[in-house]
Amino acid sequence: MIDKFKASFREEAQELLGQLEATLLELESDPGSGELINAAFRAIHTIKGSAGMFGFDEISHFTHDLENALDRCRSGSLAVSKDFIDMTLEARDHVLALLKREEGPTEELAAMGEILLGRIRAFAGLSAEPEGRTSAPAAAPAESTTGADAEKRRRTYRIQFKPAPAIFKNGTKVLNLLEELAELGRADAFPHTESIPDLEAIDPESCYCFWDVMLTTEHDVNAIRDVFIFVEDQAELKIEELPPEPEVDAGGHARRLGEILVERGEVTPDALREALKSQKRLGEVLVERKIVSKPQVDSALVEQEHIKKTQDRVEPTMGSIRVASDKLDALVDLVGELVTVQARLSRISLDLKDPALGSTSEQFERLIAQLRDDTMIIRMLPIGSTFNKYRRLVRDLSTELGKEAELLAEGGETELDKTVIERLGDPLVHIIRNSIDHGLEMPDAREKAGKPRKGSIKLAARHSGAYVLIEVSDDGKGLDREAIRNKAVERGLLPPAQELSDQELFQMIFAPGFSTAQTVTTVSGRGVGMDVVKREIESLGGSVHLSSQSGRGMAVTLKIPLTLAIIEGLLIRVAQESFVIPLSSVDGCIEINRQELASMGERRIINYRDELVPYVRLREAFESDGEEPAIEQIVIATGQESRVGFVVDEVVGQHQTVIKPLGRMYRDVEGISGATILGDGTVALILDVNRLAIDAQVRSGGQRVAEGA
Amino acid sequence: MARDSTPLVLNLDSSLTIDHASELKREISSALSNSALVHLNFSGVEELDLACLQVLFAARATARAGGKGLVFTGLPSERVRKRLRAGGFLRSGNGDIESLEAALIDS
Repeated sequence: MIDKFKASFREEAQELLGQLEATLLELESDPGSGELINAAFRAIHTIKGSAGMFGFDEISHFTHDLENALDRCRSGSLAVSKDFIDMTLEARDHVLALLKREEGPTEELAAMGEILLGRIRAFAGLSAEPEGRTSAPAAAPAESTTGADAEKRRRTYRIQFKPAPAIFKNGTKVLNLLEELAELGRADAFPHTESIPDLEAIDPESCYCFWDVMLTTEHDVNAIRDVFIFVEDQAELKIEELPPEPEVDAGGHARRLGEILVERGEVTPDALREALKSQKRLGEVLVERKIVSKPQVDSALVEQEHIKKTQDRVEPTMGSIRVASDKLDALVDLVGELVTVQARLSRISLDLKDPALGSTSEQFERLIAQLRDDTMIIRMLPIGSTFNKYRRLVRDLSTELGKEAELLAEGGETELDKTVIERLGDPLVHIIRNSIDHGLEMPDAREKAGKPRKGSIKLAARHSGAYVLIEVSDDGKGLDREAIRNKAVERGLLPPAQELSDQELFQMIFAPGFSTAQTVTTVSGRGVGMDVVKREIESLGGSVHLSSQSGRGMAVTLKIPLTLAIIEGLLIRVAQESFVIPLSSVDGCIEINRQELASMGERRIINYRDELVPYVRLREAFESDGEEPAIEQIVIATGQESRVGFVVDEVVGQHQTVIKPLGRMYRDVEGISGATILGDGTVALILDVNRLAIDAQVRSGGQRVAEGA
Repeated sequence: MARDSTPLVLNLDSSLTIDHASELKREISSALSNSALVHLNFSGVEELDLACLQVLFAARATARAGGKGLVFTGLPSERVRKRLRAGGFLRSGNGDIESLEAALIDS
C-alpha cells in the first residue's frame, strides 16, 4: 500500500522537478518576476511537504533550507543572480538523484548533499538552525526542529480584521500586518473601502478600512493570532476555520456565492432562495434589492475564487490520468484491427446489398472512425515538451564549452506519436551536442566573422503528408568539407583520388566511429554520435538528411513517418495492384481518354484548372502488366510545392488506411511511404506524393505555368 | 465636453506615509480645484501606507463628484506593489498601476 503512494509521490515529484527546471531557466532571463519566484517556491514547498509525509526524509531535510532560500527571494531579501540559479538548478538535480534511489542515498550522494546545503545556507545567509520570525508562533519552529507532530494539514480560514479608527495613532502599519498574514500561506484579501469619505471630509490620520481575508495555510490559528498580537485591543479580529474539505457539489464546483453569503450571515436563506428565482446573476440581484452591499458580494466572490484556486492545487490530477504506455499500444493495435475488419464488413455489406446490414455497417463505420480518431489523439503529444527539455542542455553545454548559445524552437505544437517522441530523445541530444561542440564557434571568433556572439540552435518541427520533419539547425561554421574528406580517406572509406559530391561526403559522417574532432571532449567527439542517430531514425522508418553552408551553419533534417497513423486515403487501382494516395493531398480527379493524353504530345503535362500539371503514368512507373483501359483517371494531388497527376485505371474510393511501415529492405525505395492491408487481405502501397511530385516536375523540365498560360 | 486637457501632473513623493498624509491631501485638493485633469505620477514612490492610500481613494471620490479627471501613471516600487497586493488592492497580480486605479474605481 505504502509502495503505491511512494511510487505516486515519485512520479509527481519528478514532474514538479521538471517544471521547476523550466521555471528556473525562465527566471534567469526574468529575475524580477514575482510569479516565477513564487512558482519555484511552491514547487519546492510541495515536494518538501509530500516528501515528509511519505517518509522521504532525506529529501524533506534537503529541501527545507532550499525552501527558505526561495522564500527569501519571494520576500525580496535575496536577489536572483546567475549564481543563485546555478545553485538552485544543482539542488534540483540533487533532489532528482535522491528521488531515483530505492533505498537511502549512497555515501557519496549524502556527502554531495551536505556540500550543496552548505552553499544554499551560505547563500541565503541562514544560520545552521532554521530561524523563527519574531511574531512567529510556537508552531513554526516545532515543525522543523523538534519532531512534535504539528499536523501539516492545509487549512482554510476566513478572517475578518476591523481596525479601530484610531489605530494609526500608535504607529501601527496596517498594510504590514496584512503582508505578514499573507506570508503564512496563500491569502486573498478583500479590502472594504466603502467608508472612506471624500477629500474634504477625510481625516488622514484615521483608519476607515476593514478586511475580509481568505487564508489557506499549514499553520494553525495561533499563527494567525500572533500576526495581530500587538493590535489585539485596537481591532476586531474574527477567525473562522472552514470545514476541512471545501464543500464541492456533484458538479465539482466550489462553494456557491449564495452559500458563502449565508454562512457569513450576510443573507438569510429565505432571501437567498427568493433571489435565486430571478434570471439574473445572484450577486447582481442581491445588490439590486439591497439585501447585501456590493462590497459584501465582491468579498464573497474573492472567497469563492480563493477556494477554487487552492482546490485546484490540491488535486492537480483531476484533469488527467496516467496510463502505462504498453496499455495504450495494445489499445491502438486493437483499433487498427477493428478498422481492417470493419472495412471487410463494409465490402461484404455492399456485395450483399442488404438494407439492414448496409445501414448497420454504415453506423459501425462512423463509430470506428470516431474511435480511431480518439485513440490516435490520445497517443499524440506535442513535441514542444521535448524541445523545452533541451534548453537546459544547451545552457549547460554552452557554459561548459565557453560558448554562448540559445535554443529557438518552432512548431512545438506539432504532434507526434508518444513512442516516436521518446525514441527521438537521444538522437536529438546527439545532434544538438554536435552543433554546439563542433558547429558553433567561440564568441570572439563569431564576433570577428560578423555574427552575433550568441549562437543559435533552432529546433523546428512540422507535418508533411504522412511524415513529420524535424530540423535541427545552427548558425555556426557548417560542415568542414576538407576535414571530412581527410578523415574519410584516413579511415580508408574513400580512395584519395575519388571525387564526391557534397551530399555524398556528408553522408560519410554516418559511418561508425567517424569523428573529425581533434580532441575528444567529454561531450561529443567520441564518434559514437551520428551513426547511432542514423540507425535510430532508420529503425523508426525515417531518414536523416544533412545540409551545410560553409561559414553559415548546418541543418540536420529528420524525416519520421507517423508509423501508427491511420489516415484517410484514396484507394486507386492500376492493373491488378492497389495503391493509396493520402486524401489530404488529393485535389481532384478527372477522367481522360487515351486520345486526349496522346494529343498533349511528348511532354507529360495536362491542363488542370488553368495550371499545367505534370503527370505520372503509374502503370509505367510501376511497370505493371497489361493494357490500360480506354478511359483512365487522373488523380491530381499536391505535393509540398507543386502538383502532380497520377494516371490510374480506376479510382475505387475513400479508404481508412492503417499505415504500416515498409520493411528495412524497402526503406530506400523512393515514391512509396508505407503500405496498408486492405479488407480482402491484399497489400496496397501508399504513394509518397511529395517525392513523386518533385520527380515529375524534374522530368517534365520543371515547367509549371500558372493560370493563363 | 470641451475641456482643457493639459493635465496637471503631481509627482508623488517617494515616501507616502502617515506623516505626509495631510500634505498629500492638501496637494491633491489644490490640484483638483485648479485643473480639470490631474495626473498622479507614482514612479518614484518607494513607500505607501494605508493613511495615504485612503487619501487616494478620497481623492478619487472627490474627482468623480466634481466631474474632474484623476489618472494614475507610473509604477511604484516592487515593495509597494507587494504590500498593495497583500492588502488586496491589486488583485490581478500583475501589479500595474492600472489595476490599482481599477481597484479604486470599483470602490
